[in-house]
Amino acid sequence: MSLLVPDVGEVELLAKLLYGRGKAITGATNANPIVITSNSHGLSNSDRVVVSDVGGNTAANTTATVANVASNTFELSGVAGNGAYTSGGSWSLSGVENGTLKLRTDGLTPAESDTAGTYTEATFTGYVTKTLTGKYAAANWPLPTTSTGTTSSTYGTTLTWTPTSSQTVTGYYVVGATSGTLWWAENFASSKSLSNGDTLSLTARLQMD
Amino acid sequence: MSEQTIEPVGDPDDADAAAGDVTDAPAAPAGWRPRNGQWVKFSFDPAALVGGHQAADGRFVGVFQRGGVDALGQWHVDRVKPVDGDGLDLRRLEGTQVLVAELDPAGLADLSPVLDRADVPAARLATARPGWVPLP
Repeated sequence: MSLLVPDVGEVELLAKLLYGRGKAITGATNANPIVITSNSHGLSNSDRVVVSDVGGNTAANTTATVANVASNTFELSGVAGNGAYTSGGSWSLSGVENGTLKLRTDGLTPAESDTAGTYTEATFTGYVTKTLTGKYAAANWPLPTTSTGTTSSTYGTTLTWTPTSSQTVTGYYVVGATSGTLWWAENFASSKSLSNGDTLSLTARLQMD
Repeated sequence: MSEQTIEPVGDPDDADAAAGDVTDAPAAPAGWRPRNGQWVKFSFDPAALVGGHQAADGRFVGVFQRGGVDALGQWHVDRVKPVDGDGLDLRRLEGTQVLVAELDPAGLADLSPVLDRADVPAARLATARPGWVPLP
């Protein structure tokens, strides 16, 4: 399967999903500015990060610019602590959004000129959109593997629908959950006629063409 | 109508005869390899692609799909999907079955990228990305 990425470059999208996912936080000083501990974070000065789920020093849960990076620590520029760190927390690069996966019923082959408005979304009873989490957990978008000259990363969760009405689905498309921008679309090798009681299981995979 | 199936339409060998119908068809750029989702055009027997959308030079227009395993685990090979005037996959009715045309790109004469927006069906351009221009 090759995937179509009409609105962003494949490399850019992979980079966002794979390397924008961030890492766990193990410390946040109650100081001004807050110094975050995150082993081998890989950030650079001036990166923008979104910090969440830090316990105790909750002022760290914000979006801030990174400064004074060291191997395992970085400062949240301009952010002062408001308490002692207790536990938890993670960060991700700002601008990384989740994806929303939608099934399609249109009779067309995705082309690189397309937008989300090109496609017709499924409407069968029991249909819901699915969220592809782009942030933090490595299990969501594992580091790509190379097989027979192609590089791909498979989303860690199989997506399943159980329709209670009939409809033929021809593929799916993924848009940014907040931007609405089309990320990619794919046709199934052959369309699937769904009926009440069927189960459709889908595995999303990003593959470099 | 029964479940849609996909079957090849026409014989790629027919394209050899049809190629003569297109005059001065420019060759594909040197080293060109179609991208997944790329608009392409090619020569083919018109009788085998009735209703197929044609570029200004008379060649048929379609979308290239790279082969592989889809999200449902189904395998398909590299293929070109010809489109109709609305930009939909070209279909034909046989009995109660709707057949969707798909062609082996290796057998297509004069296969080359669409380089003029005007060769893309207007219905697809209506929802195209603003400023999109076809690239080789």
